[in-house]
Amino acid sequence: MTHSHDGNHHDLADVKTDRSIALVGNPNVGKSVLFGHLTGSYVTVSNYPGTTVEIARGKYTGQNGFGAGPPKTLIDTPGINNLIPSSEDELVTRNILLKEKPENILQVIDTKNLRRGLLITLQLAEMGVPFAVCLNMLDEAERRGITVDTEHLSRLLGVDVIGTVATRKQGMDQVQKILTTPRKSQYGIQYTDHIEQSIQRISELLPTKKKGTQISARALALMLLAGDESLYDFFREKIADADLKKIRNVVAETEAIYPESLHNIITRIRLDEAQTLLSQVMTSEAVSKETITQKIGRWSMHPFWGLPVLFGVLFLMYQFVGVFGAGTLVDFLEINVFGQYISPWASTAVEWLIPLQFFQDMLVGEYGLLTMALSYSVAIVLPIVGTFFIAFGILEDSGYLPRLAVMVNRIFKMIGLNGKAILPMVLGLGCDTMATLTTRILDSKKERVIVTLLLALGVPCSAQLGVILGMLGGLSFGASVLWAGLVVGVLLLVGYLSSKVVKGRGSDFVLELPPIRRPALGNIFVKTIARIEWYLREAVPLFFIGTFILFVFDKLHILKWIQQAASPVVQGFLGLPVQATDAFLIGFLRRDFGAAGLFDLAKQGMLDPNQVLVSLVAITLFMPCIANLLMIVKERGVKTAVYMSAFILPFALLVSGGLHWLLVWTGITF
Amino acid sequence: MSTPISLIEEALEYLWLTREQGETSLESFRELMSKDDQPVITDDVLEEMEEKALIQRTNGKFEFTAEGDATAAQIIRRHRLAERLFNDVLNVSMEETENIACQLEHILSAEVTKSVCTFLGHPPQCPHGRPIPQGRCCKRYKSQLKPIISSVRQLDLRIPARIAFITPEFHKRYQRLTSLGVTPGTELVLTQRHPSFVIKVGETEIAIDGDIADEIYVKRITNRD
Repeated sequence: MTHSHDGNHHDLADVKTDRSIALVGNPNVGKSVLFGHLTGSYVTVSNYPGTTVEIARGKYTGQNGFGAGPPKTLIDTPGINNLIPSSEDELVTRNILLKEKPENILQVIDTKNLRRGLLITLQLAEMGVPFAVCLNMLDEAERRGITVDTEHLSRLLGVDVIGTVATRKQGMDQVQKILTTPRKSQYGIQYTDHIEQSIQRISELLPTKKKGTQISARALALMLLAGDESLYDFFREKIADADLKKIRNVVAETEAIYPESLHNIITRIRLDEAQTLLSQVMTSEAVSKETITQKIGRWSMHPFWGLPVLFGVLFLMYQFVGVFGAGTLVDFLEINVFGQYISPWASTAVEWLIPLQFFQDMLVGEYGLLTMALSYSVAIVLPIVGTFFIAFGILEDSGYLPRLAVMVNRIFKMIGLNGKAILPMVLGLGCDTMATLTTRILDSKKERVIVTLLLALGVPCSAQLGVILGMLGGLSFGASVLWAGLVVGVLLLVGYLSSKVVKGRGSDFVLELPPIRRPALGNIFVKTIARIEWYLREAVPLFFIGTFILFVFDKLHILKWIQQAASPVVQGFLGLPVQATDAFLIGFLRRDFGAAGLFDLAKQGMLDPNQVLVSLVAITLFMPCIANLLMIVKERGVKTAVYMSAFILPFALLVSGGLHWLLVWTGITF
Repeated sequence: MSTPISLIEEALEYLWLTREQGETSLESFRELMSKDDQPVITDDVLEEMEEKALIQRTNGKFEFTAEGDATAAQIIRRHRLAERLFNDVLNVSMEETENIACQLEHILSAEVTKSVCTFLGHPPQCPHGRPIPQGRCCKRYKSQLKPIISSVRQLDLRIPARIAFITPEFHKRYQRLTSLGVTPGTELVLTQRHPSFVIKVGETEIAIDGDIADEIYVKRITNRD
């Protein structure tokens, strides 16, 4: 296997669907929108290669008179650029075609990028699988002066080809119609003589019957020639070892003939063929007028104008998530809904139902599962991540996110990352726990580790950020700048150092920029719902586990003990009052509570401005909340989590203590 | 009277350089040579060159004969083409490029020179910005004003170009580019350099790192070749 993956959601070998239809296509061609129309349910649509790693399946029964026969499973496969896999997504899609034997395949193509789509079409034809082609985004192509003769293309390929605008539901009836008439394409490609001979030799070694796949021997031989190592695993039980060895020899011999890799040669021959097809069916006239969305796309990446756009977007997002979500909504849910109704009701009910004090404490006590974990995850985090998901969805569907990556790529290169890493970092300003989970979109393990560390160390989540900004508001502007400068500086420094320490190579920055589009609100809505479901499933249990651990600590008086042990450090080294210890400790469970604890101290006049600043730096850099820590354990493993904690704890103290002593030494007061 | 050919060629090269600076005195010529730590050209050598009808001397000044001019032009041409090849295309350091160019200027055959020139797209200037004397092959392509082969980094913005070749440092990188449709023979346009390089291939916009921009070589498209 060329791919080792730590997750387990790609394990498709055991999935058996006799009557299924697979949607296949390049990233950002509208597969998921089409999927939504056809099944009525929805899956995350993303402009970001990598976000749709999980596969959506839905039931397709057929609408408007196309419902003959039993329901079929519709599979929304991850976006691919090539069926010779060079990414995890491509491997998943290839595996679906290889192992699941869909009875029909609908290839979705972005009409304006027909050549790239045809590269896949030609491979489907070669595989000998039944399919039909849907040329989507006709409107965008038209605006760019591109027209495609679908009938002619259909004649050339020998399969059905239709044009659609999925976002406006144009052509949906035709899609359903062609789904009833899958055909195999007879379109073949002639490769070089050497390659053709090798195809012949390998095909003879492949099993003719019981090969466990509907893909043609010719296509399989070409995959093997192109260096697709993952296929050997598939054949291990179907072909004798000796024959596998022979196949490897043929591949090696053929490779030796050419100066460059066979993968490149084969792909190039296919692209040339795609070009030949293209020239017969596509006409494009130069459209000199730049559309407004193209202009916006250009401005958002402009070395100068891109910055105001960037700050504007961040400001709007902060207003929506930080002010409306973390402020208005949280206040309403926490104070009104939970504070006045749910928590008191729950307490009364539990006290009445369960007479045992211990269980009462566990459910509704200070660290109670209902009073703390539920109210925290539902009243506080949910509105924040909910509004964040909406904002993120809009950014995603608008095509702005990859452009944001373009803006920051150079800075991120300095810390061993590339522009893509901005995504989890921005997400971290919403919720670090969730952001840690999305580090999966990064291409290398090295990047995932660095981003996880930076998130845990210095990216304040919106809950915390709200309180921090509130406290900074009471200080001078200079203090705010110092806080922000220190945190950003620490992130850059630690990022730079960890890029030296963490082994491995970062990944290339090769990022497709989809056009700027006006997001469809319906899409955002269903997508947000899907993500909230996911949040409830993945993150909420962690809040419960975390609360329970704290409850146990409290019962065993471990919390008291930690408080006592930590106070000399807090008092002596950080120069803060002993009560601040509580705030830091609580901050481990709820970052905003930690900050809020400090806020209270400041309000009571127990902290002077310098102490406020020092404590804010400390709490920003301090341990992530317990849910985040558990997420790090889940995603990166116990060892990495322990290492990170062992670094963050003393480091946060060192920086904030250093700041304290620097302020004392220089005599600066704010 | 048997000065090695290479020394005569060296002298011709420096006479050309002297003239390029607008000087015609032998004194300036000698200064220029000693500045570059080149061997001293004695009067004997100059006399021999005069006998071979390459140059003429009058009152401490020099002038090329038609034949001398042509010979010197060829040397300069080979030198500067070699510079382009090694420095631009093969990314050899300028210092090392200079060493190689100084050797190649004496040994490149006419045919190889022509091939290199064609390969580079008949560049009019060396990497230092000095003119490369045109060969016969260039005159046929007189319409060219700029070097044809260049990396995407050097490409002018919004000028369509065709990918000539890609020299990826990592195999995976090539596969990724290929699958996105970035292959030799494809047309591309560089739309911006900062803050990241963005190329447009067909209707696909792709952001790439600077070091990848260095690895994609393109040929400017002229009158629809």
